[in-house]
Amino acid sequence: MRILAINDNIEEGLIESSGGMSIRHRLPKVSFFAMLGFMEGGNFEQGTIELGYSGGYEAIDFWDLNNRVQQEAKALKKAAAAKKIPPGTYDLVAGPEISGIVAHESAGHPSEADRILGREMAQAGESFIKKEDRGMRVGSDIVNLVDDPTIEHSFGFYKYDRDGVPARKRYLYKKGLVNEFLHNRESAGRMGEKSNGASRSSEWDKEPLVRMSTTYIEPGEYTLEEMMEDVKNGIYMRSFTEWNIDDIRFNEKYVGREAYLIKNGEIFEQIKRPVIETTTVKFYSSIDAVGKDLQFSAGTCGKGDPMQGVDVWMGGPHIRLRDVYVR
Amino acid sequence: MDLNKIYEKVSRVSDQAAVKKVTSRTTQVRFSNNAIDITNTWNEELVTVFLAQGKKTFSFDLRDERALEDTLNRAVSALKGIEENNDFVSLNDRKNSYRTKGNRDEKLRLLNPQEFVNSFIDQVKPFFKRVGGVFYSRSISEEIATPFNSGSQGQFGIEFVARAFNDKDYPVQTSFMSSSDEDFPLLEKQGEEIIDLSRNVRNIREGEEGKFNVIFTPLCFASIVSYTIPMASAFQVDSGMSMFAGRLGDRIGSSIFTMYDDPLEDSMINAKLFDDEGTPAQRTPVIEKGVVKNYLHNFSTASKFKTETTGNAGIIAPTPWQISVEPGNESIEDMVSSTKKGVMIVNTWYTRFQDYREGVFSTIPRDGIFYIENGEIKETWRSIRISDSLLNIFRNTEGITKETKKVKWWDETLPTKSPYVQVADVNISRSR
Repeated sequence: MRILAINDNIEEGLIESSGGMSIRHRLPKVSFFAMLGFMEGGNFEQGTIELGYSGGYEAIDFWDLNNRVQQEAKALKKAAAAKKIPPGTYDLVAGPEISGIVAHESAGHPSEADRILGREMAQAGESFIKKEDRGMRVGSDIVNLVDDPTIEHSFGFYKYDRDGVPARKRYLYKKGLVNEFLHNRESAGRMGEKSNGASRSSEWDKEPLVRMSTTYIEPGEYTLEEMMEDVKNGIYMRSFTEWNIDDIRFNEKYVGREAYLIKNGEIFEQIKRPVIETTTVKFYSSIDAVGKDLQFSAGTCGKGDPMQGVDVWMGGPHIRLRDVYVR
Repeated sequence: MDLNKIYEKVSRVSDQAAVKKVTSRTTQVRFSNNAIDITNTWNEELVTVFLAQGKKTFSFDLRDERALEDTLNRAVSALKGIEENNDFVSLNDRKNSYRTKGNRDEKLRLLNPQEFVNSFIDQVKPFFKRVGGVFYSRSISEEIATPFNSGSQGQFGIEFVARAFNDKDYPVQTSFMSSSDEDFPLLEKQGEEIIDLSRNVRNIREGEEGKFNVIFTPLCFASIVSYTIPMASAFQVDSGMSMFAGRLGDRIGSSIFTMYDDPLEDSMINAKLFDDEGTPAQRTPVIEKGVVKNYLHNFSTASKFKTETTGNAGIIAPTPWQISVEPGNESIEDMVSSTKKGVMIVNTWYTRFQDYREGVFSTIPRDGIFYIENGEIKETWRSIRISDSLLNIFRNTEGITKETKKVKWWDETLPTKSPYVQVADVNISRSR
């Protein structure tokens, strides 16, 4: 079973303001979406692939698309036949797809200043971070979370935001501490600060809101092998299926799609849909190793009313967490 | 843009064409922290074009008639290179006639959005730390032309949502949606409703895990069925990503549970006379007395499934219009007072599925989670999640109220008329 879609578009714009801003841009993009389902003997497993690229159809090679889809299909086939593990406390090695969704949901969203100020209170909600919380510990000291619109070919790429502010890299969490909020001019003005260029809108006639671009966990020093060899009883969650998070971005759930049991540093067997329900602070505080690799996947981030979907990348390296409750 | 001129040009280069023009005027007032943030008015005109040459199909949008020639040339050129769409059979080739709508909306149209919102804020402000929300009024007119049918339809509607936080930062929410003056008094009562709801907030604490008897309010149940009914689209069934696949005629729910796609309910904002290929809209039971009764079809999917269209085109993928859940005989007061141990949930969001085939999902309750013991609300919970399957929810439905409410909230609910629904043994989980 499958649903496949490939999209391309070219966004052209001219932004001018009474303050003297005049910025012309042209940005081509390509994206790919697949929803795959595998069923055999009454066992079913579903998965999605979302890829995005700022540029042209060289994206197909950049993504290594054929291999990626085939790998996913094979992994789903094995996952459909896999068995659940008993609930309990395990070490967790999470792949870049998990790092990415966690970065987006529980670092990017709660750092959006308009949410912190309550402007999205009736829709996507607010934030567990309050405006006086810079410096609050939310993770271990090896955890660095970044949002950066300037990465070439990233799906959330831009050079100037919708308010005309130059784009730049922002450390949302630094060494495990809340560091910087994402701002547009409105939220920055309300907090008495300067915008850091996070103003985006999905269309010319929708209001610019505070948005992410490419949000990721900054890579560290470990290889995947080094992380695994120190795990006696753990889980390697390579990708996820169902996920959600509450409207203050604190209580979250991730269900593994391709996941394996680790015993004494080795992959033992594929397992079916391990479930983590945890909090943002518990998740980031449990990280004791950050990989040196870095991969991104694409998404359409929904926010605002009327709903505005904007293109984003999210990613990170492999990471290792100690003592996570899994069911 | 002139629909007939566009249709004429498109039909010259196609075997079949469907052209739809939508003209809309939308006014929005958004507010947060007890003040209006922004007022918008959008005047929009959009033409969507579907054309087929044999079994090759192409669709495009048009916002400027001057772009037609160029866009059409590119469409014709693209058609040469693309493969046949074997799922396309034909547009509906019967000559149809359409009903007339029966709702009155003069009072709703005369409402001043900013005055309404300001008066709402003034009314509820003394009872809450802060309130936010959104008001929409929207007037839409549609015209359609196909080789076999033409028609026009229009609808005016109002949506209003408010979320208010008390002095302990606990939120409650109310929602209103209607196209009928008959519902005007309910709109005026939204302030009272959210204040009354907040009076239930007491003994706030983290919720518990386990199996609970859950009373879903109309807003919360609307969200559940809004994630359910799109899976009845024949496109979704055909893709295999649907809990309805292979279950036509099967009992999947309690015999008291019936749910319609209901475009004939003119008091709701997405009422329709016809679909995108000119088929008359109809009331379609998707689940009737617990049994899967129909998938939602356009003409082509109906041909593929050897049945009749249900008037739900989307020419490529059939789509639901708006939902009615059949009311029952109970009252919400009796439902609460007869609950020994249970939870009433006002709203939910972030519903995601790990298994579309079995409807296995989780969703995050919000805006009022009231723990009931021996018929009384004893506590107010937060930080819980419903982790269950839609099949369990519908199978374990034990009570439905007579009272219904029309709701629509953000992208989480389709326009829905729902009663309160009581479900046994709902699995509640939480972070550890």
